[in-house]
Amino acid sequence: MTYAAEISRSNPTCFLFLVDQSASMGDPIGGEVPQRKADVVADAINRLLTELSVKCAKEEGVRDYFHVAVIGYGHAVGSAFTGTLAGRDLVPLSEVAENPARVEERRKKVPDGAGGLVETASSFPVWLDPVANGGTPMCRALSYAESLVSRWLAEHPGCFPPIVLNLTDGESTDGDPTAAASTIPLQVSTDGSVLLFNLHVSGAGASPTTFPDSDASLPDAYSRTLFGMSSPLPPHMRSYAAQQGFGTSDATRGFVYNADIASVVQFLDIGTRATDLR
Amino acid sequence: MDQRPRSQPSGATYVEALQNTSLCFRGTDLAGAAVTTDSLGRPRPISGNFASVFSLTAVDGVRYAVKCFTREVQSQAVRYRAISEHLARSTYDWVVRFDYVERGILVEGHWFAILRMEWVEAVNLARWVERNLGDPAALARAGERFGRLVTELAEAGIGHGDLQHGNLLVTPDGSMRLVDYDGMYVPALAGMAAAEMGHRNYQSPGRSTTQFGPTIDRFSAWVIYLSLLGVAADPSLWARLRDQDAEHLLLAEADFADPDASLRLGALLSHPNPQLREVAERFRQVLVRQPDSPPGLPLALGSAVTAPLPQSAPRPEGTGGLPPWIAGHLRQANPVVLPPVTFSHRYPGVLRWTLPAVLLAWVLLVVSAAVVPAVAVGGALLTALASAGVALVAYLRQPETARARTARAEYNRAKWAESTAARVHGEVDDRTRQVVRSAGTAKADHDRERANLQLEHDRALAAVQRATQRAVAKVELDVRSLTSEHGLAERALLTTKQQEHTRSYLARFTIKSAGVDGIGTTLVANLRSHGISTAADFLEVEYSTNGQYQSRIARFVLTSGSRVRVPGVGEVKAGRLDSWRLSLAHNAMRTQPTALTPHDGQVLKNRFEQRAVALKAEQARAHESERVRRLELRKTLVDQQSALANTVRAADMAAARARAAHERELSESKIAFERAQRELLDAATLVGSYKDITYQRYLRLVLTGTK
Repeated sequence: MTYAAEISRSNPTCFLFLVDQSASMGDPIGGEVPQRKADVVADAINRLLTELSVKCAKEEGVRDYFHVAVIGYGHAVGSAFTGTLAGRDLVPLSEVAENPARVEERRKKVPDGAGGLVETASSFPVWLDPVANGGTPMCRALSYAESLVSRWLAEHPGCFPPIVLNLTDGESTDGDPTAAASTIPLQVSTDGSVLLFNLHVSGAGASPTTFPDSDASLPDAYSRTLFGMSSPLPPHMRSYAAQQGFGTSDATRGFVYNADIASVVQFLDIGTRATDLR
Repeated sequence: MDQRPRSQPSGATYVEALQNTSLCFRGTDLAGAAVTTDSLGRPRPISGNFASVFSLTAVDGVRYAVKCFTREVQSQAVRYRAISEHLARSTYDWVVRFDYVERGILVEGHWFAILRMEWVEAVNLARWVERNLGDPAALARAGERFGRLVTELAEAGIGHGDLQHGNLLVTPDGSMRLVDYDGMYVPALAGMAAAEMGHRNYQSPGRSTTQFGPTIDRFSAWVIYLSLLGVAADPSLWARLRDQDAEHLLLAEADFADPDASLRLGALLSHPNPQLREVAERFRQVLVRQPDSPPGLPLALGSAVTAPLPQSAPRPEGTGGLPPWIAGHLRQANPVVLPPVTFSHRYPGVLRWTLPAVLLAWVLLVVSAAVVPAVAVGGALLTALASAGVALVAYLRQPETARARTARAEYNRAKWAESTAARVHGEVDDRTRQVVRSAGTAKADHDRERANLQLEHDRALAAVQRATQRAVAKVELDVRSLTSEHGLAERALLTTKQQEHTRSYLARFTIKSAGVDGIGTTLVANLRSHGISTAADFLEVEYSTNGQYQSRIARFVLTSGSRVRVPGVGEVKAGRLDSWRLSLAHNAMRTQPTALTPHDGQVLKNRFEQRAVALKAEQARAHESERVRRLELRKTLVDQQSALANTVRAADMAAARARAAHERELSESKIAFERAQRELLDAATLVGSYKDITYQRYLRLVLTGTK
């Protein structure tokens, strides 16, 4: 059986986020409220890092069930952490939780439960700043991810397979990413092969295609390439996606095309859903 | 965003809401409560699979644990009401009191249920065991306490559903509290499905949600009970059988699935403590025979595991402190003191008269020295020597002198014998210790070797599994590209079919019967002689300009790709023919197939299915070869283990023999040493009584008569 390994402090796994930081990420994302794609993606990843820390918090603090890397690709390829963790690749989750670059105070209006709205402030830890600058060296980003994953697997051969989540808005500027992407699932642990999920952020406001199981409805060769690069969702993610209201089959891929804000969040939520944590 | 049913908030969303407790608990008695925060000053969660728990101190100073649910549980309210009512009637000290509050917390404008629980100051069982490894008695009490808790659960008809180290808390006074009632069964819930499956390291491999009743905890109870008995009997098992921070006690999921390959269970099954071994064996039987319906805990047997063993006699500890068995043989520390021996005669036999004469001569000489000093001095010296010699002879002839000499010689001999015996005994003792030590080292070596065998096996198995996963991954990729290839092939075939349709449609229309304006019999014949008789015979018309005559020349592009010029067919007529063909082609498009026929689709599908089958076969081969390798590895491990067991047995026997021999030798040397000591003591006593039998004393006796 695959994708069933226990994730524990003595058998942790890792997440790698590949974040497109090319110039076009400065364009607005489709949707009602115009927001820059880079801002949406950075917010979603910052939010997810908080979510992971909460999920792994126990009596004595955050447990290192996961190690996390956030790799940016744009004018350069490398760690996208800012602050204390700048320059680091895979970081144990407890260290991530303790070391945001800063904690912002964010104010928003929420329903007060009595029919009115009230403004509240809450703190929002930030590890990753939005960047939009340069080309889209996706091939280099993928092979960087592959080398990190391969090093990780040498030390953790029995882990739940690492998950690589690639968030991009455009075509690769350093060649066809298919070859670089196809080496990633050939990296394996005893529990299965490494998962590569892809998300394409839309600028046009076209309706998103979420977790498709064939490339038939995809519009062009570019979207079919991204689809082809994406791993099928393992069973537990599939059933979680189904709980969230997505239609799934055995062939459902970890792929979202023309993502809007909501589907960026869902993509990260479903794509980082590992087996039950203890 | 709101098309889907409203799902439970996530952990981070609760953390955000709890930053304003006057808002999120508005109108409840938790409004304005103080939340325990983390190092970033944000509410500090303790998360599980279904919920995050926060510590809150209400305005009235009462501290609560507040559980916020992150996943929806079927009929949660009904469950909690039933559990609450059932527990309200009980007086068990492990119960943690709670309220299920349906309008518990306001998150982003919606109310969600919370569980408000009494705050318990305690640590979970795994951490508690770790902290108490130095106190086997406390560990034994915990085992007993747990056994009682299980009995009480059974008598109350309760199944907890997730008995595990994280849900068993131990308070500072050593009492046990059971927390997390999300998956609890109480009789009122009969017929429902289990809300959760429990911790993987505590559940039978076959557990399903349909098993929901008072006996659901049996398997986990065995796991915990056996673990507690194990650490109480032998605290070293904790470090030997677990990785640091592992999420289990002494046993884990893999041990339940494959008990025969389990190092951990093996260690318990072969433990020197026979009662522990027996409990472990019974658990093995459970795993093999009835993992889904284990019997109750063997509490009587369990209490025997940690019963104090009769103390075995301590071994001799070298020459320093003597063991009790030898002490009785030794003289008391203050030995008998014999009365001192004195000379029985002032002068012995023949010397009776010689001695006074010599002394007299000496006195006379001293007197005459006043007259002739030189002669006198020489004479006096001679006389003194003579008298000393005579006194010596006399002394030596005293009977006491001979006896003293014998006693002194005996004392020296005894002293030498004693020190030799002490040395020999010391050496034997060192050797014995060495034998014991090397037996200990050998045991540690064997333990290490056993662990290494397992480690090597696990490593080799991991390599095999990864090889399989790699092969499977490769096939998966091929299957994926096969799928997209299939799509491409379908599209390509459809295009071909559409082209064929157009061609055969166009072929039905001859130029002869087309009635195109200006194309008479001659031109029809001309066209035919150039291979053009129907609309299907050319694809289009190309025009080029003839520079010489400033006119445009029309050429027909044939299906073969070649271009022909037909005499008599100029730009205009060719154009008419072209538009005639185009309108027909347009009609053809309207009737062309838009999908493959089932037959064509099937043929294509079959072709790809054959390749998929081949790929699946490759995958199956990979799995099969893993299965074979796994069996081989298992066999190698078992063989190596049994070879090692034989070596260990032989070494144990040799060590036991050597130890017995050395201990025999040790006791013999001890006895010899003791004897030598006793003799030395006797000799010393005797020598002591002759301390006055000396030449000096004798001279004093002769001269003064004092003894």
